[in-house]
Amino acid sequence: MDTPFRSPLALMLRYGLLSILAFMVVCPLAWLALASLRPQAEIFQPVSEFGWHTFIPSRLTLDNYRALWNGDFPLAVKNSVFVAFMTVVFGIVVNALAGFAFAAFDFRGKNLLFLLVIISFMMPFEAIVLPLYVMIRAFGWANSYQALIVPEIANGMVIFLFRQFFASIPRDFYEAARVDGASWLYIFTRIAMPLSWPTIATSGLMLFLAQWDSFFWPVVAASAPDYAVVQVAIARNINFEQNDWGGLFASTNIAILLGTIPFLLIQRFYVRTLISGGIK
Amino acid sequence: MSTMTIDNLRKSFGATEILRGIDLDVADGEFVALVGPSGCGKSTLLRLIAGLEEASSGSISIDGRDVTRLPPKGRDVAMVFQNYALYPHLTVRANMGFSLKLRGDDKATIDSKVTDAAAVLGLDALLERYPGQLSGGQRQRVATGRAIVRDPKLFLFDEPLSNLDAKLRAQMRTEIKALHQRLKNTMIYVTHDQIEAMTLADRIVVMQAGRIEQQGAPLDLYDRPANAFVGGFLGSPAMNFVKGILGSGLFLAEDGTQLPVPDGFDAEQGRSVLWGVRPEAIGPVDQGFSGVVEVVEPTGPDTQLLVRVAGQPLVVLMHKRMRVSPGDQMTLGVQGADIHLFDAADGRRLHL
Ligand SMILES: Nc1ncnc2c1ncn2[C@@H]1O[C@H](COP(=O)(O)OP(=O)(O)O)[C@@H](O)[C@H]1O
Ligand SMILES: [Mg+2]
Repeated sequence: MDTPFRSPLALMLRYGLLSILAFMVVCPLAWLALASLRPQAEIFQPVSEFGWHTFIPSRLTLDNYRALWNGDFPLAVKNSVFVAFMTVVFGIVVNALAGFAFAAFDFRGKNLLFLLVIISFMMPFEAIVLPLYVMIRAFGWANSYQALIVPEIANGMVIFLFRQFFASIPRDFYEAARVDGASWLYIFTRIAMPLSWPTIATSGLMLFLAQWDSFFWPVVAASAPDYAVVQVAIARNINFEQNDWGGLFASTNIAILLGTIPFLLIQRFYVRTLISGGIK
Repeated sequence: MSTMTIDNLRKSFGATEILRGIDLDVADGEFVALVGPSGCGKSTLLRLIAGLEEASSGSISIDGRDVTRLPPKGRDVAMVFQNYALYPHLTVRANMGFSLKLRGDDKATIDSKVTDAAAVLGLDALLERYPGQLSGGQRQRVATGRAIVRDPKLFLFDEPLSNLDAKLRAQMRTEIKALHQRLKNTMIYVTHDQIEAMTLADRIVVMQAGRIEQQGAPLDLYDRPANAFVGGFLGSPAMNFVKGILGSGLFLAEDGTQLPVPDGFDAEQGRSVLWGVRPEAIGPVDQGFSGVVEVVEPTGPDTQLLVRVAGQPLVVLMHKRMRVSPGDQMTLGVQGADIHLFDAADGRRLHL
């Protein structure tokens, strides 16, 4: 036997500890999920009288969700989905093209430009909010979809990811295609992009999450109710004379659930790596 | 049908000049092997011919047309890469048809050309596979197939067999030779393996440090190297060299040992020269120079010996089995016609 011997006690400790940690992580989420299914009046009652009722509701109801459905939350979801989708589509095209240029071409000022790209994602967003807002205003884009989408398309981190990936594709692929008569655009669309599914998936996810979670910029740039995104809509429900806790919890829940869908969809792309096999 | 002419071609990367004035004429249907040590600029020359790098000066023409400033697309050359560079997301069929599709051939034409090439290369059964599902030798064949479907003016190979094991390499070498005899296309083949160059080429071009040292038919180069570098580069095991000076009708090694010179060789006495002899040209004789056996390596058909002569080890290759052991004294000789004398300073050959 070459697996090291583990005493049952050590194993029990190990799994015990892990279970506690897992419980601590899941507990608030579970509580949130359950709370959203309780009648308004009952939400905080079990907390003050801690017991099994804290976790097991006496009665399940969809009232909170129904109320949400009839309010302006569906519009916020629609806005968020639209904004995130457009950002992902345009973001992948633009950032992949930029990354490809950095990886495949030699041009003057390339290193300086790449340094700026890296700096751009090191820089806290808060630092550029004001100038960005001034610009958006000057374009006449305040309170519009463009204001939400366009500034998020170019993403230094995603450019960086694509550059790293394209630089790792052996140059021979590009050169073989060039000798065979391919243009650079053809090489980009038919060779570089088809090989980069894992990077596309990761980048898409990053762009999606950035939009799905974004709060600060939408509040600044598009706070009109017509353009409110999910996070903005949720925040509207938080105030000091709070009485719609159910609505808040239900909307948070929906935001979380919808946010995980892209993860589940693209998981399988992480497993497959296409790059192997063509070389050597 | 195509010829190529390269005229005073130069290439620098930054301040370093990698190609220092290459002149080369390739005849229609010729198989030219470019050889030389690693880093001498063989790949760079090939990439310039393909249009993947831009020449610093000089010109390249294919079929009389100056292509020096044309992109790869305008040159009608095909290249087989050392790493094969098969597109991993495309099947063998799509890989082989890639250039035809780009060129805008219709599907039926592509299919028939790919099928023909696959038949020539024995790839019929593998057309629907992906490169990842092929062995090294099969990938090499697909890479070759991708080039031949195009029927280009010029085939360029950059060390296409160097990723294969010795046995497969020998087999593929024969296949490439057969392919050339069948297609009769003009081919330029880069290798650092001098056996490949000797066996495949109509003409060998030996390069060193960005220059062409010598070119000619393989056996001419082997028998009459123009300088010590070419003599040492072609042939395995390599040519033996002994340093010394010329005496009257003989060669004096640094330790005073007397060695013969080519028949009828006459030159100023006292000149510093390199005395060169191929391992297979040396053999045991009754009257000659003496040496002490240091290492005995039987390979089956041959016996390779390391014999200390004139204070330095000489490799001796005999096409028979020898009953000798380390420490034995041997008397060795060499035919005058098999001796090469080179200038010690610049390595130039001193006689015809
Ligand atoms: N793109 C490049 N930039 C700078 N130096 C290069 C480049 N390509 C090749 N070289 C240099 O040119 C020399 C010749 O390279 P190469 O033609 O690949 O040699 P070979 O194929 O004969 O081994 C090497 O010293 C290499 O470092
Ligand atoms: Mg090379």
